[in-house]
Amino acid sequence: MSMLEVNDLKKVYPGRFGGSGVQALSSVSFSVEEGEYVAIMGESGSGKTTLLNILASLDKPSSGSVLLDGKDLTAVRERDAAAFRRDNLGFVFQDFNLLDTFSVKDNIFLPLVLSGKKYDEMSRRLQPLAQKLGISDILHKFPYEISGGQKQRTAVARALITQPRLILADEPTGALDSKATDQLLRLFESINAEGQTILMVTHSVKAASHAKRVLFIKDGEVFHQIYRGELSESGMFERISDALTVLQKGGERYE
Amino acid sequence: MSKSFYPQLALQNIMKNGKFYFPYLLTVVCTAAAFYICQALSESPWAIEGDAVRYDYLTMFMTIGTGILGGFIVIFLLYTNSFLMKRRVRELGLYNVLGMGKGHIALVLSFESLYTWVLGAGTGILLGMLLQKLVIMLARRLMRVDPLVRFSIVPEAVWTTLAFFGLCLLLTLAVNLRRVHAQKPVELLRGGQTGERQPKTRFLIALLALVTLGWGYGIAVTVKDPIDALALYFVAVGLVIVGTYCLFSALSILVLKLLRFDRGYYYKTSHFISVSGMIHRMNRNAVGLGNICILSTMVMVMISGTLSLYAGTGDALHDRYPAQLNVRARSRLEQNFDVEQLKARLTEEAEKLGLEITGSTAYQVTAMELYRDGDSFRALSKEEKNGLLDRQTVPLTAVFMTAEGYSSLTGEPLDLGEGELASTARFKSGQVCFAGPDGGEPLEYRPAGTLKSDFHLADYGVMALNTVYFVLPDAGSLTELMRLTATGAANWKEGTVTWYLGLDTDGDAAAQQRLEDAFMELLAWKGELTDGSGRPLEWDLLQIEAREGVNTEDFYALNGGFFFLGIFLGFIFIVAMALIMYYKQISEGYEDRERFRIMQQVGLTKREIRKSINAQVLIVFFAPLAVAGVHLAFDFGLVKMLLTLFGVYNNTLTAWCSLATFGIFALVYALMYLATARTYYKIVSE
Repeated sequence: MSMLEVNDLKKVYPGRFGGSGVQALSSVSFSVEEGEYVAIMGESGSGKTTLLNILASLDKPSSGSVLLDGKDLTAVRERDAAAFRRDNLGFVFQDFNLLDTFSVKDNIFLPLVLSGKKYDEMSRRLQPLAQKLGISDILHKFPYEISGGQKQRTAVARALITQPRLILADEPTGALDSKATDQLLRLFESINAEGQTILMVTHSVKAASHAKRVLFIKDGEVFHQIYRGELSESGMFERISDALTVLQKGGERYE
Repeated sequence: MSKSFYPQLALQNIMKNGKFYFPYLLTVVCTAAAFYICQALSESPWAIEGDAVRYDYLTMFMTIGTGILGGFIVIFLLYTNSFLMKRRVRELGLYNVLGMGKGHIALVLSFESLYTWVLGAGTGILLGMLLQKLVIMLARRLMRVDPLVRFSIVPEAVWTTLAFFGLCLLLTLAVNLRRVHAQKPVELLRGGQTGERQPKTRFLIALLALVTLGWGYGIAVTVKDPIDALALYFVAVGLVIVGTYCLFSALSILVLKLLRFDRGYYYKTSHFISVSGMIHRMNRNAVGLGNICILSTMVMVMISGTLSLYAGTGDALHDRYPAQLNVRARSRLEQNFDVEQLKARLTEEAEKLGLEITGSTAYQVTAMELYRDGDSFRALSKEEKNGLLDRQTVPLTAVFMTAEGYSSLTGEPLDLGEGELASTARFKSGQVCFAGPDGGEPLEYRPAGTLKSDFHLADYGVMALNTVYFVLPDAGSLTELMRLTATGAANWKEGTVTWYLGLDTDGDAAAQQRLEDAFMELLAWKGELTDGSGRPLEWDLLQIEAREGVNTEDFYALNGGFFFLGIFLGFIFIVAMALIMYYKQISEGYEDRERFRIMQQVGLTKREIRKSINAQVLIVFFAPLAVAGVHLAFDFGLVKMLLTLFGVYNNTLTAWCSLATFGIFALVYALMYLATARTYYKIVSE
C-alpha cells in the first residue's frame, strides 16, 4: 500500500449567488510511496495550492479522497484535523511563517509544546536537528534578526522536529537567494536520503530537478510525470524544462 | 485633471477608510459638542434669571472645565490622528508611486481636514445645542437651582468652538504633512509592514516604575494632615502617572520575561502562546494601556471625589450649622462673655418677630496645641509656638469643652465629677496630666469616659487628623487649664474662648432669614448688649448664620456644581477611552490575524487559538482597570484628607462612594470591552 494515495480529487469553489463557480481541481489522482521525494509543478492557477491545502487538511475537497497510511483525511473532523496535522505532517512555506513573538528555538518547539511534550525531550530532539541544519548558533535569536535562508532552515527544523510521516513544502525556495536555495535543496535531499518522505509544490525547475519524481499539473489534472531514476541533476533539469515547454505550448498528453 | 478631483478623492478616502475614519470623526463630533456645552455654560446668559450669584460657581467650574477639556482635546486628537495616519501610510505611498506629487497629497490631506472640520465640528456644535438644555438642567438640578431654563444659542460658544477645532485640525494637518514630506515613497509603501521587534528588557525603567509607584503610594499612605495632603497631592499624582507608564512599558515585560525564563512554566500549551503573545502585546500597547489606565483613574477619582463631596453636603451643612440660627462669638477670658445674656436678648428679639425659640444649644470651646507624651500633655512655649525652637514632634490640636456644652450639642448626657475628663483619645494609665510650657505643678485628671472617635466640631478636624477632644467637668476647670497652659503668667486672661449658641425656631426659612437680619442689626452695635451687671458685653469676633436659605443654597450650589463638573469631564474621558479601546482592538486584530493563520497551519485548532487569544486579550484589556483600581484605593487615603477641607469627615460615606464609582465604572468598562471586542473577532476570523 502506498503511504499517500490521492484519488480523483475535485475542488469547486462555489460562485457567488449560485453561479457556476471556479473549478480548481477537476480530477487529481496520484500516490506517494514511503521515502519518496516528489515535486509537483504547474503554472499559477493550475490548482497546486488548492491541492496542497487539501493534503494539509486545511481545506476539504468537493469530492474524492486523500488516504494517508490508509486513513481518509477528508473524513477527519476539524477538531481532530489540527492534532492530525501536528502529529503527521510537517510544513515548510515560501514565506517561512515563523511567529515574530517566538525566538527561533521556541518557533521550532511550537508543535511539540502543543502536543504537551516535556522541555527535556524537546531539547533532546532539537540538539541533533539544529546541528544538522546549522542553526545551533541562532537558536536564541528572533526571526527578524536572521537571514531568509536561516528562517527557512528554522521552518524546516520546525517541520522535522515532530518526526512527521510527510513533509509538505509550498514553494520553499521562492523567497530565497540562489545560495540559500542550493543549501535548502541539498538539505532536502539529505533528509530524504535518511528516509523522510517529502512532497514539494514548486515553480522552480531547479528545485524540482532535485526531486526523485516530478508531477505536472495543468487545469486541475495531473498532466504528466517524470521519474528521475538514474538521471543526473542537470539531466533532470533538461527533461523538466522540456516537459514545461510542451505543457505551455498546450501540447498533447504524453507519457 | 478636473478641479473637483482632489476634493472628490479626499471624500473617497474618508469613505474608504471608514473603519478608522468614522471613529475619528465621531471623536471630533463628541469633543466639539462637549467643548461647545462647556463654553456655553461658562458664558451663562441664564444667570440673569435670578440666580446670578450661585450660577457664578458653575461659570467658574466650567471655565476651569474648558481649560482642562481644551488641553485634553489637543492631545487626544493628535493621538487618534497619529493612529489613523499609521494605517494610511501605505495608501499615501501608493499615490506617490502612482505619480501624485507630495504637493497633491498635501492638497488631498488638506481637503480631508477641511471636511473633518466642517462635518465634525459642525455636527458637534449642533449636537451640543441639542444636549445643552439637558446638561444645564442636570447641572441646575444638582446645584438645587430651579431646573427650568429656556433654550438659547450662545453665539460666542459657537465661534470659539469652531475656531478652536479649526486650530486643532490645522495642527494635526501640519503634523501629517511633515510626516508625508519627510518620507520617501518606498518607505511610505513599506510603512505599516515593518515587523515588530522583541522588546528589550529595560531594568532601569522597571526599577523606576517600582520607585515612583512606591513613592506615590507612600505619600498617600503616610500623609497625616489635610494641608500636607493638598500640597503633596499633585506630587503623588505625577509620580503615579510616571509609574503607570513605566509599569506598563517595562515592569510588565520584565515580569513576563521572567515567566518565560521558567521552563517548567513556560513550555506548557496554555502558557507558551499567551506569555509570548503578551510580551508582544505589552510592548506594542504600553502607551495605549497606560493612557487607558490613567484616564480610568482620572474618571474614577474625579467622580468618586465629587460624589463624596456632594453626598456629604448634608452632613457638612449640619456640622457647620448645627441649629437653624448659629451664633459664634470669640472672646477673651477677661471680657466675661455671658452666653445666657446673649440668648435672652436674642430670644426677646425673636419674640418681637412673632417667632418662638423651640430649642437651643450652647457650648464654649477652647483649642490649643499640646505635645503628647504617653498620657501627659505639655503646652508649647512661646519660642516653640513661634517656630523659633525646633519642634521635636508634631504637636496635636487639643480642643476643650465643658460637660454641659458637650451634652447640649450632642444631646447625650455626660456626667463628670471633680477631676474627671472624657476624651476621644485612649489612655493607658488612670491619670492624664496637663503641664504648662515651663513644667511646674501639672493638672491631673482621671479619664472617666471615651467619646466616639468621629466626634468633631466643624472648626476643628477629627481624631484621625491629629485633633483630640477633651471634655472637662465645668467652666472653672476650663479656666484653670487655660491659666496653666498660658505662655506668660501675667497675661493669661488674654486666652480666648469661642462661644457657640444655636437656636431653633418654629419659623420657616423666610422667617429665619428675617430673624438673621434682625440679629445682625442688633449685634452690629456692641453697646446694645449688656451683661447682668449692666456692663456691655464684649467680644472679639461675632458671627451669626442661618442654616436655611442662602447658606444651604450656597453649599449645594458649590458642591453640586463640583459634582456636575466631575460627571461632565468623567463622561468625556470615558468616551475618549472607548475610542482608544476601539483603535487598540482594531490594530491588534490586524496583527493577530496573521499569527492566527500560522498557528492554525502548525496544528492548533481554531478553538485553542481563540481560547489562548481570548485569555490574552482579556488580561491585557482588564490590566489597566485593575491597576486603576489599586490607584483609586491608595488615592482614597489622600482624598479623605482633602475632603475634610470641604467639611466632609464621613470616611465610610467616602469609601462607599469610591466603591460605587469603581463598581459602575467597571461595568461601563466591561460593556465597552464587549462592544469593541466584536470588531476584533471579526477582523481576526476574516
